[in-house]
Amino acid sequence: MLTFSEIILALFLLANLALAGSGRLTHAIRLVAAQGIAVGALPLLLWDWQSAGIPECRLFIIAAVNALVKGVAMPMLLGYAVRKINTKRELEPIISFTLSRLIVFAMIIGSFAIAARLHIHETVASELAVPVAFTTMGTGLLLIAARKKAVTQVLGFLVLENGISVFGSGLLIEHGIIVELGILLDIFALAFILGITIFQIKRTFSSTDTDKLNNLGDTHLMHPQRHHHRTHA
Amino acid sequence: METNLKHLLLVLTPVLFLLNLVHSFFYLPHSDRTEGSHHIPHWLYYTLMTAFFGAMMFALTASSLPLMWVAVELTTLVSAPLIAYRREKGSLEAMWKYLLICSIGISLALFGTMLVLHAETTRSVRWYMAGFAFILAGYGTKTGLAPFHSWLPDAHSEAPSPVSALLSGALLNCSLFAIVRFREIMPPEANHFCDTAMIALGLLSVATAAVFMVRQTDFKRLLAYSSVEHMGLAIIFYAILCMTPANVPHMEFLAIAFLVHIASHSLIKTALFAIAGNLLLAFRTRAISVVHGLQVSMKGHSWLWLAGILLICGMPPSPLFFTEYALVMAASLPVASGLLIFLFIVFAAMMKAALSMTMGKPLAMPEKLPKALGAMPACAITLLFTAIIMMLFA
Repeated sequence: MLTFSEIILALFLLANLALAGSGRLTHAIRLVAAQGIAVGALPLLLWDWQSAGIPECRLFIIAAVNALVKGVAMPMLLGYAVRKINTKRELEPIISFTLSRLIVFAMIIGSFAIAARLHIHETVASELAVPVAFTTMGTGLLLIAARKKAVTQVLGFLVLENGISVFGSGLLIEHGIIVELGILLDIFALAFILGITIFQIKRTFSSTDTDKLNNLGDTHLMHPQRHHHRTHA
Repeated sequence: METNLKHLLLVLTPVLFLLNLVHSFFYLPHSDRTEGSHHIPHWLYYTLMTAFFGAMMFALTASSLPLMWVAVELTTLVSAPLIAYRREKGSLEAMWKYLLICSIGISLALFGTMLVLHAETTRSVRWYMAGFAFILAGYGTKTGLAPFHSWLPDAHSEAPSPVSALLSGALLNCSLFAIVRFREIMPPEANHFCDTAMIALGLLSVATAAVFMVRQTDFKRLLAYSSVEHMGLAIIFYAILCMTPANVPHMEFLAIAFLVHIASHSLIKTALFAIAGNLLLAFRTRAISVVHGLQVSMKGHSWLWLAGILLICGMPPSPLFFTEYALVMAASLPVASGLLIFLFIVFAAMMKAALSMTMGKPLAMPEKLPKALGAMPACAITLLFTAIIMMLFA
C-alpha cells in the first residue's frame, strides 16, 4: 500500500534528479529547502500512529526545529548570499547537467540494488527510506565534486546531511533531543560560517569559482618547472 | 585502552592549550607588525581559541557517541576562522578546504555512527563493519590519515603558528580518540577487518608523508606532513595493540609506549611549530631555500630547531625512538619492513631540510625577534623531558 510517507520519499528522488540538472542557483536552493521541510516532517510521517498512539512532545519539537532550520533559515541565508554576491547560475559545471542527471539515475538503481541485499526489512520503518537516503547522500557528494560555485558546494553538503537524516529516521534511530538539536546547531553554524567565507572569497578573489582556490597543495613538487608560480607568504 | 588514552588527552590538551595561549600573547603583536594588520580582531582570536579548547575537551568527555560527533564537528567550526586569522588568499583557501573536507568527512562519521547504533540493536557483524569503515573514513579525515589528509598541510601551513601547534598537537589526537572509542565497541568477529583497515590506512599515511617530504620546499608543510606520518604510526600502533592478546607479557609495555608516542609527538610538534612560526616572522618566508645559516644569524633558534627535528625523527634520547622501536618489534614482518623504509626516508628528508636551514652562510639577515618568542619551544621540550623523567622514576 502506498502511504503518504512513501510519496514524500519518492518526491525526494525527483528532487535529487532535479538538483543534478539545475543550473539556476535560486532554483536549486528552493529544491533543497523543500527537501529540508520533508526531512523535518519525515519522523512524524513514519510514526506508527495506529498502534503506537500519539508520540511524545519532543518528537514534535525536533520535527518543527528541523523543518524550520533546514527548510527556512538555511535556504534564506544562502538566498541572501546568492543575491549579495550576484551569482545567478552555475555556468561551466565540471560534469555537465545531463551527465549528472544520468549519474543520479544510475545511483537510484544502484541504491535499490544495495538496499535489497542488506536485509533490513524487519527493522526499517519504510522500505523506501534506505535507498532514498543512499541516493540523496550520493547526490550531495556529486554536487560538491562536480560543481564549481562555492554556493553549490554548500548546497551539496546540505543535501548530503539531508540524506543522512533520512537514513536516521528511516531506521528509527533516536538520539534524544539534546543530540538532535546539537547536530542541527552544528550544521546551521557550518552553513553560516561557509556563507561568510563565500563573501570573503568573493572580495579577495573577485569570483566564487572554487577552481580558483588551487594555489596551495603539493602538485608543484611533481612539476618542478612550474615552481616559480608559487608565492611564499 | 580507551580510558587510559582519555586520561592522557585530558591532561595533555590543557597543557598544550596553555602553552599556545601564552605564546599567542607574544606572537600575535609581533606578527601583526611584520605581516600587516588585516586580520580578525584579537578578542575574537582568543575567544575562538578558548572555544576550540572547550570543544576538544567536550569531545573527550562526551557521554554518548552521537554527542561526541556534535563536539568533534564543533571543533571544526570554531577552529576554521582561526586558520584564516590573516585575511589573505592563501589562508582563505586553506580555511575553505578545511571546512568543506572536514565537514564532509565528519558527515560520513555521523552516518557511520548511525550504522553502529543500528548494529547495536540488530547485533549484525556486517553492519558493525560497514559502520567502522565509515567511522575510519570520517574521523580519519579529521585525524589526517591519507588519503583523506589533503586539508592538513594547507591548514597547518597557513594558520598562525600557535593555531597550527594546537591543531597538530591536540585536535588530531581528539579525533584519533574518536576512532579508538568506536574500535573498543566492535564485536570480536569484526576485529580482523577493523585492524587490517587501520594498518592499511596507517601505512598509506606514513608512505604519503614520506613521499611529500622528500622534495618539500616549505618548512611548515614539512612539519604538517610529519604530523600525517605520526598519526599513521599511532593508528598502526593502536591496531597492533588490539591484535595482541591480553595475556602476552609485553602487552602492558606496548600500551604505555602507545601513550608515550602520542604525548611526545604532541609536545615536540608544538615546539617545532612555534620555532617555525618564529622563523616565518624573522625571514618573512616559509621557503626552506631562503632560510640558511641559522647557526650564524639566530643561534638559539638554530639549536632548538635542530634538536626538535632530531627528536621528532626519533634520534635515541627521544622517547619516540623507544616507542617506534617497540612498534617495529611488535609489527608483522611486511608491516615492520615497510615502516622502517618509510621512516628512513622521512628521517633523510627532515635532516636534509634541517641541515640546509641551520648550516652554511646566511643568505638573508633575519629581523630581530622579541626574546620571549623563543621561550615556548624551549618550555615544550623541557616539559617533554620532565614528563619522561617523571614517568621513569615515579
